[in-house]
Amino acid sequence: MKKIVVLIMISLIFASCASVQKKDERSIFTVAELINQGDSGALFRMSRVPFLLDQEIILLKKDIETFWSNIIEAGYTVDSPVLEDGQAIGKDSYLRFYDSMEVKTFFKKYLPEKTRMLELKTSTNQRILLLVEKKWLTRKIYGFKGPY
Amino acid sequence: MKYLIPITILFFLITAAVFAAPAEVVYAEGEASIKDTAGDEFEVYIGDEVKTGDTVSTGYDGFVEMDQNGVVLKINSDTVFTLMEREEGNEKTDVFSIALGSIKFRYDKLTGKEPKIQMVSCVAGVRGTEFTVFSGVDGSALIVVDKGRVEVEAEGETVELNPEEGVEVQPGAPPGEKFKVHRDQIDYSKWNEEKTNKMLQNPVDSIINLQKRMDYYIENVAEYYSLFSEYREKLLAERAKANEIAEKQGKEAGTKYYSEVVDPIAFDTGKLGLNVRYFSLAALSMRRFVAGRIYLSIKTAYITDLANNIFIEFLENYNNLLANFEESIVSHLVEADI
Repeated sequence: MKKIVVLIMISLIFASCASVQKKDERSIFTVAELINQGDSGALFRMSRVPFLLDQEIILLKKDIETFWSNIIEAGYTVDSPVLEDGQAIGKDSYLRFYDSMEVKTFFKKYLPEKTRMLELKTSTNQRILLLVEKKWLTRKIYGFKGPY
Repeated sequence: MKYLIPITILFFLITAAVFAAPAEVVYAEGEASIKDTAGDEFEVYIGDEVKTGDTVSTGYDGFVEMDQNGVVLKINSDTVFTLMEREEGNEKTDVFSIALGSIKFRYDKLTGKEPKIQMVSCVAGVRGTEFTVFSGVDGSALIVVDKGRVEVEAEGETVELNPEEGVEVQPGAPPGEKFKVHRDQIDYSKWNEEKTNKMLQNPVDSIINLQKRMDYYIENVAEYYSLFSEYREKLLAERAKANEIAEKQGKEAGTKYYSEVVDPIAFDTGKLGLNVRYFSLAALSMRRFVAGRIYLSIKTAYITDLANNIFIEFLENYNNLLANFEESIVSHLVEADI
């Protein structure tokens, strides 16, 4: 009986990990797909203020709209994205974006607890870092770093 | 951690020493928000008070009209405005800071103690009753006077504007030549579009110009912080002395020493701390609403060609600007400012 309970628990843990990875993959595919389709409106609606672009805290909604529409106008695409890494944000996660008091404060003050930091890799070996919160049927984007 | 105690003392002294009359929102429409000194942001409603340190931002369809003791401020769309305060000539002076966008000012009467108007590239002293200031995407400023006079100062040079005159100021440069302009003839969107095009054509120059202005803020922060530290030491020593006097000569002698010696030093220390905050916040405002927005424009313009030499040169200069900001300004900021 004891063995069965342990097995069930292990299976649940594995299932939960697989489900988190699936959600992370879905998040990066959604963002990549919207960029590739040129749907800056949807990307803007998914984005939250303030928004972190590399080391810059964007405070104006209009600027977030400009960011998405500009990269699409410039012809930027994310080809064959693969999830390289997905992590819950922690105390030092900000360092992967930029090492500054401003970015550290942004992570501490503005990101919801369940935000995930997702790294995707493209077919040209470029990487992008995204800050995404998955809540019910919606995804919210809090930050974008790259391509690097 | 090393800055925690000085900043705490600085805040205590400033809180004790200042706070200007708030401005009242008399009309608001469209997207508009207030970010207070605690860093909390909320929607603007008629009747709201805008206090020292608060920032009002308007969106593409936003408009806010405020009244501060007879000064009417008409804040147009896509504008970032902060009500600030500094010490100048031994007196506290209100400062209307415009990081971005345009505001029309109307003064019902002039008292001689009108708030200064701070833009990224210059400061305007008010002698007039009706004028408009524009703050462009690259940190340039444009000031146009309808009635009365306005003095515009940048890089140690001053230009006096009379009715129907205007002047443009680039960041890091003295005011340009005055020009004649008729009321409401300036199309801010067109002017700002020209600035955007110029910035996109010469991104490196735009950042170098901003660096000059950042240097100005850094110099002022360093100067006032050095004086502030000196006065704070003096204050601590004199407080200890006052306590010693109270112990040896009695409470009355201690109180007398406090009011005659300690209090004036505390007041001066508070004023110096106020200026450290003023220049630090002005630098943050420029970094956030001008430098950050230039970065966004240039990064997205070159996103498919990040190895381009122009972008690389821009990035080198931009990183220098950030490094200088980090080194000299950030230690004077707190989380609520971010």
